[in-house]
Amino acid sequence: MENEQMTAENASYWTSVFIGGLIAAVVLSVLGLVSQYMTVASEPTGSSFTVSQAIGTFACLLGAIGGFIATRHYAKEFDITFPIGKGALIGLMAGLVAVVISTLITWVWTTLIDPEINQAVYDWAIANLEAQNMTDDQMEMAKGFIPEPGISIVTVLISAAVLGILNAISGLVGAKVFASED
Amino acid sequence: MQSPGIFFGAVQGRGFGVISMKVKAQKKGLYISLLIVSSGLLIIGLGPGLFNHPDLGGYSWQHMVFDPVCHQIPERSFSINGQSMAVCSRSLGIYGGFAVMVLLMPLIPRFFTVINSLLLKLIIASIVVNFVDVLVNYFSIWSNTLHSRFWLGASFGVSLALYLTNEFFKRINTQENYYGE
Repeated sequence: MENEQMTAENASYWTSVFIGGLIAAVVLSVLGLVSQYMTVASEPTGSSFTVSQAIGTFACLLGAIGGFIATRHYAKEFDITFPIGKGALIGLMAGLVAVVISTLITWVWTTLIDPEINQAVYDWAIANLEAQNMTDDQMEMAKGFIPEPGISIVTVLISAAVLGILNAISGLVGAKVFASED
Repeated sequence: MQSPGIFFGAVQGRGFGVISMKVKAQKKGLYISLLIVSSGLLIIGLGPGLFNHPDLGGYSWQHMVFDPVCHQIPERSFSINGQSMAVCSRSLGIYGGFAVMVLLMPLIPRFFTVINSLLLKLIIASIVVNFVDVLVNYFSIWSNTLHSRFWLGASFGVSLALYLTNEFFKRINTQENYYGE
């Protein structure tokens, strides 16, 4: 019993965090890139429900998958129980790792494989904005919310905050499902 | 937090007992954090219309926040003051249902018995139903609406928060016996 408690206290969760973060990052990157290509292939004023938008429907759920996977791996790997607070911490870390890896994947893709895609997405967003019949002032304000082509620090920080929070919540749930102390 | 108690009459000869139901709060710091975070997500998700910001056709800092995790299509989102929210109606149901149930968490054990195994099945069922709803709508087998998507999303958010309830608030039934003098 004492041995088990020592293991639960000392077992490192970083491998689990990395695995959860990596899986979430790959899923997010693939969805993001597929969505970008489908966006630039569509008309800026199109309003029908496309495959790209159907993918977006699950982005919320899939974006939070890292915390759930990380807590499951941590509990199964060491066969331990731990409090949900620790699950939230593991989930938060998995979310942050997912953002870092996802940013790297996106950077590699948009720099080495297809350097044109960022500019195409930006141009599409501007064209979509112009199709909305806004005043010049409104246009200028709205443009401020469209990220410049390439990796934006603001976008990365926002993603880190949102995905960190969502994965912390999924880590809470994961800890309860896989490592409940009750 | 203590309910008035349930009187159950005379027992064991001269004595009588009162079952009093208490709700024990635990992990308060984590609960407060969850409450703040879930309420914050909901308020941001309600979009620029909530703050009476000018209509920029769905471009706002609130939309930027949820851009990584929601498609934000105006036709599939509710609006406030004529401006579409920063999340779609299904996501609003998820965040709204979760935030409201987290807020109500302290009250839930007073009125309901939380059965984790059942709630876990409900969570899985709500994910499956939402998944099926998206697919059949995509293949034009049926058309969902803003409200149907909202309530399906809410079923997931509510069951998720209910599942976490007894991690933070537990019902404890205690029996106090009084014996005649």
